[in-house]
Amino acid sequence: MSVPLLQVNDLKKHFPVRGGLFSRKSNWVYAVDGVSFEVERGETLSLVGESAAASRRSAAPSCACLTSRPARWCWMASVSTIFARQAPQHAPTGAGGVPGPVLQSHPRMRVRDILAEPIRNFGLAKSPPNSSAGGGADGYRAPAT
Amino acid sequence: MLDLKRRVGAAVILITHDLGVVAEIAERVMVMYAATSRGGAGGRAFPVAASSLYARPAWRGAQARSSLTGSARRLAEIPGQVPSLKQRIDGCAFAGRCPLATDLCREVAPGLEEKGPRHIAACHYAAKAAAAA
Repeated sequence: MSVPLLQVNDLKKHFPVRGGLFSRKSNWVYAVDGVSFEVERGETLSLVGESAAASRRSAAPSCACLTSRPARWCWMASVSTIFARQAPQHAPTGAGGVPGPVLQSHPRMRVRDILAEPIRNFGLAKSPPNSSAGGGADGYRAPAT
Repeated sequence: MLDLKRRVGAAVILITHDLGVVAEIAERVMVMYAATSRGGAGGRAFPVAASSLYARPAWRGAQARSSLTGSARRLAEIPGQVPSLKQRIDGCAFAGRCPLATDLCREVAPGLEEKGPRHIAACHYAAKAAAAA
């Protein structure tokens, strides 16, 4: 049995919600709650989900961007990730811990296609489904209501 | 990306909504819902293994608009919304949107269990749903 390159056990990421006087912690958001998985060398693991929020939060710590309290990370081998080669090690994420462009890169879609996808899915585009509306990202406009 | 993976032997974690891409390039799939994992399967086996009551409509949605088939039909929506993550969820997180949810689902959170070869799912009725499909 091969040794996994990355093993994640019971990953949890809970964010405090601050409010009231002195911005005290008033609640928690359970962004990731007890997720376990492992990735073999040379393997492609896909995380899919409705909002992708938990998926991103689960993947982001693999770039050492976040710390997770009860999570136990086992690096079974030296990791030479694509991200480490392409992106600065100290800042692979964007604002607010959201994965940056390297993590979000889609192997098949351009930016304007990504922007156009929800518009086409809900039938709001004026142009045919297979053509890009307006010829680029700047060409998209809010649908008339 | 795949070329880099082949050359350096790196592992790739891919986050996407496009299950057509998943079926094409991923060896394994993990389905996330409401902060937890709902199951997993081999990438190419995902259409067959999508017996989880959450994963199955998601796969049908992908078929409606798939980069593999070029289909561009309107997406099938799953009624309801993802539950709030501000409270711990008792029972199955998908119970509020599942047409087959029972009191068992609302009271007891299903654990991940093996439903078939390279297929796990967190659903009390996953096997029954797969047989009925």
